[in-house]
Amino acid sequence: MMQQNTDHLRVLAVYPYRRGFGFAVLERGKLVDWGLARLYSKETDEFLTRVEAMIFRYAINIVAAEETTNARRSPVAKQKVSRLLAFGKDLDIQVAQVPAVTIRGVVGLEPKATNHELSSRIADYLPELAILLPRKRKFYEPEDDRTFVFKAVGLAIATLCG
Amino acid sequence: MTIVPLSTYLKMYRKRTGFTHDDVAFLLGGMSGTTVSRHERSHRLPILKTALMYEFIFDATVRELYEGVFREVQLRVRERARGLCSSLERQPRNPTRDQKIAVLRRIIAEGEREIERAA
Repeated sequence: MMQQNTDHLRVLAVYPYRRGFGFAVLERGKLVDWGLARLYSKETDEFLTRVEAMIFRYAINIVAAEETTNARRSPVAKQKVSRLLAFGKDLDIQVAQVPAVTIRGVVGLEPKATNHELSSRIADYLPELAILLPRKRKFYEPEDDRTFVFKAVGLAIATLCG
Repeated sequence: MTIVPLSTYLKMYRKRTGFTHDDVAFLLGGMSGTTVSRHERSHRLPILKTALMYEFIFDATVRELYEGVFREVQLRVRERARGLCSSLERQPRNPTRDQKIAVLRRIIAEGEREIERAA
């Protein structure tokens, strides 16, 4: 899965959603930290404060987020991503935007693969995430929050491989 | 060039097992989840017995758990080994001195290999 020499990079991938954001820290093919961060304020300041703390805690080299220009994402999520990218630049950290198609391609999936297929494939690569894998949702159920952790991990992998 | 390792990877190993701070604290005995959190955040270094317990619980060496601290210590020892080696080289030859120098050269070479690997 990891093809390039990315030994010198530690990536923080952030995937914002309605109630917070999924995150993943990846280095040398190791998943260092991952999870969901719940946000209690609707302002993006809390989001940026939490991300900043992670950047300093893990001495991050690259901040990765999803390419939201043509993505079907909420305006709030799009705003959070753009604020995050601007914030990364302010901190003089490399920022990367990865399209959803690239994430699926990097783990060997078709562009139309479902989020559950993506999560399952990532859990195959990184067994420590298997306990987080949500069951396949019914069409009338909302997306399980844990899916956003897998999306963040996918972003981190795509950033290091792409 | 490689990244500077984090001072500790305890959190990564704990999350891999699925344990909470309190679970680990219970296994360690006489400790709270807060202390485990402090160890994970490098706000506090564990005593030797606790570090060995971590090694046993997470099935990873202390060196792996505290990679950043290990690198720091290795660098410091290598510098001191250089000093001791050069002062021993000025002394008259005898088997003990030669043995010490051989050990010190091994320490210095190992440290340099690590640096080369990192470069």
